[in-house]
Amino acid sequence: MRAKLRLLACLLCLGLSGPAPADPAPPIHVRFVNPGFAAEGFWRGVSDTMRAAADQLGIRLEISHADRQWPRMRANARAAIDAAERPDYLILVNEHRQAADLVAAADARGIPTLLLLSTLTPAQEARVGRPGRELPHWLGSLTPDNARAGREMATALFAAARELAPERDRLTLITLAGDAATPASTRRLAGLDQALATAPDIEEVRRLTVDWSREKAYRRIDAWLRTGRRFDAVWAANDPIALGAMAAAEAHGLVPGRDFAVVGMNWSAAALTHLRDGTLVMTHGGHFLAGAWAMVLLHDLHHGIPAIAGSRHLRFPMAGLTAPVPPRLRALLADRDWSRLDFRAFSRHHHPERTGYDFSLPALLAALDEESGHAD
Amino acid sequence: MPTERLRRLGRGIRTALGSRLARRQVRLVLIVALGVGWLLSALQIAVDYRAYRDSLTTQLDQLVTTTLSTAAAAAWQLDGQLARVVCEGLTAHPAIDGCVLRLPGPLSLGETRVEPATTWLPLSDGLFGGRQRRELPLRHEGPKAIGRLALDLNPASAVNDFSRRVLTHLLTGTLRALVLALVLFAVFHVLTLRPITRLSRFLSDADPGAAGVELTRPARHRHDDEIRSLETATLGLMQTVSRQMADLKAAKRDLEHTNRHLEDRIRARTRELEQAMRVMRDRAYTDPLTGLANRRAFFEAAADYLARWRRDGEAFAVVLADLDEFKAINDRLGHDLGDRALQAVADGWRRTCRQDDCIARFGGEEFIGLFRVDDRDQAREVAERLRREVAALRLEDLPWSLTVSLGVALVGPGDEAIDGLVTRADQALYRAKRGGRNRVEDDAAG
Repeated sequence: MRAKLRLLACLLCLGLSGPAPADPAPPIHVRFVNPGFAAEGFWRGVSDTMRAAADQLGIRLEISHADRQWPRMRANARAAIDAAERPDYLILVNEHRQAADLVAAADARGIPTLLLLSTLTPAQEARVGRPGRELPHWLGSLTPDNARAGREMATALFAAARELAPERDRLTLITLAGDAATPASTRRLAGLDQALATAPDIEEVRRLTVDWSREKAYRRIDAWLRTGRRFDAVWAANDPIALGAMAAAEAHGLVPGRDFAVVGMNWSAAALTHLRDGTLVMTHGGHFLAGAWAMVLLHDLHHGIPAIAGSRHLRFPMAGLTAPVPPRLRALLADRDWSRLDFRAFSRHHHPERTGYDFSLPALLAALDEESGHAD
Repeated sequence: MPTERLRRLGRGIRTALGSRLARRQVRLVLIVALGVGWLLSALQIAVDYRAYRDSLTTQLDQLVTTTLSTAAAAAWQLDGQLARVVCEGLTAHPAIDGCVLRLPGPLSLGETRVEPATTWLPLSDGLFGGRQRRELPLRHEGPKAIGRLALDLNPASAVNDFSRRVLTHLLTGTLRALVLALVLFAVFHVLTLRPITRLSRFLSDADPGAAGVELTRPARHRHDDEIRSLETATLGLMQTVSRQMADLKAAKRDLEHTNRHLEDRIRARTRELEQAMRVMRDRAYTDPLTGLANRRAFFEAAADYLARWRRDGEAFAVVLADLDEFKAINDRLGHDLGDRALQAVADGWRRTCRQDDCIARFGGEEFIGLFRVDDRDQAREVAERLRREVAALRLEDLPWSLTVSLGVALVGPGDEAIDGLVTRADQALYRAKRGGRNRVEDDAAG
């Protein structure tokens, strides 16, 4: 019954989406266990881009959402693994480090599994096994290059701060970290540390952990400012945190972009507005496109492309957006109609002459250009 | 049955408490036990106070030390929520009623205040350091303070806790003293007072004179203590006293017996003597042949008659009688018949004699009598009756009739002595003899 409903939902999606499937072959069947919400936030973006790519690449996609409750995510994953109808591929997330035994269970069922956005920690891998070795059906992982993102954010932030106060030779930084445990967060902070190591004029006065919360970020910055101290730069782990910090500073009469510089992450619509206003230096991101990249990868694998012949742990780059943002991209991020991107442009199956993948911002803009041209 | 036993127990307790010695002992033990108990309680309280204060200080120090790093993290992270949690954790301790986590400047990151505890112990303000505020600098990887943790310490609940302990100490000390006094009293009562009471009751009730003095045996476990020795000694003494009293009593009885015997014998001898004297007197005043009064008796009685005549005027007559022809009887018929004749006359006259009359043998065949009369005729009449009685006598072996001649003398105003009267009676008799015998003559003719 449930399977029928899902199928119906998929058919509806197919009906609503623009381009028809290119391949006449029977569709590839993929299940994605999404740990987040279906209707909002970062994880909605992941699901949406994944579905848009799946539609273009002839993939039958089933997504379950856990609303950021990891026990529910585990239950959903269990259901996906144990379902009578075995999918061709399974996509899991190591949210809260809960995926190790799920990977092993899927391997035992003989389901090829890809870990998306966060992979098993080295300790977990040492326990349950390595992809293609102890766990032959575990394909590997596809994760964003968080360290590079953190470093790029820091570099852009420091440059902007120096521009705001060229006369001073020492600048203060407040870091607003998401959390202190997840690999994505620690990798980004590692990137920040790399940048700090090469910037002796920047003094990090605080590294505050705000649990990815705009509200908490607001309160911490408010508390800091009420002690009578100031800062020149705020490195925020995501856009909501950056917006919370900016609101708190504005409440104390400080103007972002004039009195201090801020960077964020996520490519959120609000962040794009602030980019245009000049109050935000950069919003890094694009990692929600991981959903689409995963579809490209599985599509190619299915068609015999040795996509994981080298490293089993693939990284894709994220992109920092600064002003001015190309209007096409801003329009896309505003309406979030991902079907306007041509995901076949990234497929090695469709471009056999390539030996690797290019998920960079220029490539993205190129894929959008073509589509926009059609749409315009 | 149980009520009876209870009543007996109650009576026993009343008796026991009535003992002056017991009261004195209970008072003394109570004073000493209470004094010592309270002194020990005070020491205990002092020691407790130090230990409690140190433990409270250590506890607070530990709590603060363990919390300080979290508080510092909250201050470093500017985490108000964590600061509040830290403060809530601190104020959960009963000795902390206020907590503020301050950042530099006027800002308080987190603050918790609870209703301050109050103490019911008066004058306890200084105990356990009193109310105080403790300020602790918060540091993060360096000497510079990034904030302060201010704690309001309020030892009221510790004071209350301690007060309860003090009260318990005092109460148990007092109770211990009471129980000790009671137990000592009971032991003293059972081991000493009761035996002494028993002994003194035995002594006051004992009758040393009664045979077989015996004291009931004491309980078996008490066979060697001092009171038992006292009892034994007392009993021995009593028995000795009893024995000696018995001896004394026997001696007294013997003496009494002896005395009584002596009196009886004296009485008997006296009686015998009186008897003998009476016999002797009777013999002195009686004629042995006739049993009549003799001459001496006559004269003594005559003195009485004469005295009464002179005092009261009571008249009397002396009658002298002489048997006729008596010499002939003796000579012819033998003295034996003569004696018999005399006896017969005497018997006859004794029979008819009135109480106030007195007839005596005057000697030989002569008789003399004293008779109360009113006049001479009456006197003659008396003499006549005597003559007739003799004339009427019939004597065996006597061939003739016995007669008697009588002379009468009536007392007169000139009579000073009896001799005159006797003489006049003798003269009258002489006339009667001469007149023919067997007749009566008086002194009127003379």
